[in-house]
Amino acid sequence: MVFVTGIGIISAIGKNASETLSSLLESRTGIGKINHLQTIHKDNYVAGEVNYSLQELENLAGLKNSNYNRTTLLSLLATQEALENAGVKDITVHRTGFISASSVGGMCHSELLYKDFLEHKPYTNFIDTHYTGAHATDVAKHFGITDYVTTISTACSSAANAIMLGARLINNNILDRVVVGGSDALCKFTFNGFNTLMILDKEWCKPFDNNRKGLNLGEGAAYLVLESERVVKAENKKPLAILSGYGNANDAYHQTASSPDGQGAYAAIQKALEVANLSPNKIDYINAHGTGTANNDSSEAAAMQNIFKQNMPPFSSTKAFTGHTLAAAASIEAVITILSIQQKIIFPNLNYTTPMQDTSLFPVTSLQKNIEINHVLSNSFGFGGNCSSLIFSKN
Amino acid sequence: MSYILSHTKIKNNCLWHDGKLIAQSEDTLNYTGFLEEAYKFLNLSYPKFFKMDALSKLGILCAEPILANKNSSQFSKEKTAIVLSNSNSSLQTDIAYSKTMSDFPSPSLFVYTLPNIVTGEISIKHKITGENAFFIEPAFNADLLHNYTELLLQESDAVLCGWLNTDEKACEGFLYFVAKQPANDEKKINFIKHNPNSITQLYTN
Amino acid sequence: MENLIENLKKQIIEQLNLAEVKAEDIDPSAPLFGEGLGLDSIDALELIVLLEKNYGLKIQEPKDAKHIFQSVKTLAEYITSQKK
Repeated sequence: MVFVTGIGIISAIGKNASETLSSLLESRTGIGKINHLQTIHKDNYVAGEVNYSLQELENLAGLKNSNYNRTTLLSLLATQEALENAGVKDITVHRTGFISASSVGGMCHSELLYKDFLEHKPYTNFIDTHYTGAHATDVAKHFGITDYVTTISTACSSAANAIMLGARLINNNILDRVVVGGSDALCKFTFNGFNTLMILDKEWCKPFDNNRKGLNLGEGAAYLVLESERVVKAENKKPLAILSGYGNANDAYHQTASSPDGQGAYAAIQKALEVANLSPNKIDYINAHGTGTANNDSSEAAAMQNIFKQNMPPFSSTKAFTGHTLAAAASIEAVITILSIQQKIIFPNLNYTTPMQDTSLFPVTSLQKNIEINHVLSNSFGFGGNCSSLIFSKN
Repeated sequence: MSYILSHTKIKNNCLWHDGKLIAQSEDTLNYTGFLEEAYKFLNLSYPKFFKMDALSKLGILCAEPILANKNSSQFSKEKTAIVLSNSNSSLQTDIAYSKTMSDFPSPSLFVYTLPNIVTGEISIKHKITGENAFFIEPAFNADLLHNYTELLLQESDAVLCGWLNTDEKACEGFLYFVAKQPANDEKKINFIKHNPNSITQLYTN
Repeated sequence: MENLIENLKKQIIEQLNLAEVKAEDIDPSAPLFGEGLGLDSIDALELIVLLEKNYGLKIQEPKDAKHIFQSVKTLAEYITSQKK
């Protein structure tokens, strides 16, 4: 069994779990004007930006001149909180790993610096942290995690895959403890690219709404500390949740679009239920991928309809709170899921007014309190057809 | 016990399958030219190939001799996993895309600015719907791949694994197919045992 | 119009990397999507880029472009209509 003993998160809705929870409870979205990212799209789009400059993030981390780029600092802050939350005092006491996901890596800085660097070639801060794995190496080193360190890059399902790998390493007694999740910072490259694919909404996104126009980009990082049963018992810990199920499958349909009937999503959800040994009617809530694009929401709705049929549980996408945080999305949403279980609350799918015409599914649109939540399904589907689903259960 | 049933390699304008050289181009040809020549050598009829970036082309070419083979095709597509890795992520395409950003950004280039799109392309062509992952590592890591593949084989029947890397001057592809039992008992002796040593040997030879 | 259609065919082949297709193989009235050339959603976006890059015509909503991108002929007709 794999236990979640710590959570850490930083996103547009808060710099830690406590602030995140406040925002969720007050239905306060983090999506708004772009303040820190210097992009020509600044005034035309909204995003879920972490409301701290690079310098401020360094200050929050208690560092100075670290040469840690934005993705790394976000990762470090969330990891720090997760480790503290898990009560980890000495990282070396157990076999510990760090598996992190990112798509942006150091692009947020190299895109600003590379022209000058090519012309003048003096060493510049951040130039050597472009590499996607740099953030994982830097953060693991910072916390003294050495037993297993790697980086996963599978687009929007990356953090879920990091979580899955962590669970497998614990279940197979390769590690006792593993910090898993992801981090992505906003950058011009991503903005420009998603704009080119015409899947950005210039206004606040509307997941699962019939008039949805696309996604809002977001940034952030989140990590879970997963521990084995042995460690939990030995240290007399009270886990926050159990990671009871996980599944991954390839949609094998298109590089960036999901199949109309959500085959990949269906397969991933199915596998997660099998691993958790749960029938669909045992799921109490689904934290959907729900990006707000025409394609994803239809495809995901079709998959959910096919699996759950008459037993459709309440579901919501929380991306109208945080934006789509890309490689960090699955871990950010895993933390939100765990908060949901702890608080017995289902967080709403904000900005929803009109049901989708091609389905009879309606998300939860207002805060639901005092709900008995035993099992939650969390979906994350990435470009490249990479579909992942996780199931978290009450301890 | 798990075995490596088949492997391919692309390096220095050469394509090898199970240790045999099956395609080769002049040294002077740049690697993108070689990838297109290899497409012709393999007699592939797949127009989508020409829309792909070099990383995806590399993956499709390395995967083809393996997946078109009886040894691998007998495994269920739903239970075949794909685990790939590299150090450069999608850097070459990131650079190409960034050059288009100043006037007419190219959507078809942006599609390939993620390293795992190649797993998507292989999955689409061969209708493989099992698990898939992509690791970013500073160098080829046989231990990581071996370890992860063995974990996957607890639930999957077979895994296509390897390393696909491109940079400005060269590309490097090494894919191999691992399964729990040899496909054909008579030929068992031809199959290589799956362990980090044998993987490293195949990679470096 | 004939000239425009011939030019469009060449531009489409180049913009969309249709390496194995020759201009003479493209029937101007044949559907571009679904059957015919079998283009997909990303190709549609590249056609939007082509229109802007080569003809200065901007399409804001991909959904609106469906009828324009029906065939090479409808594309040529759209371009011609916008020139007026």
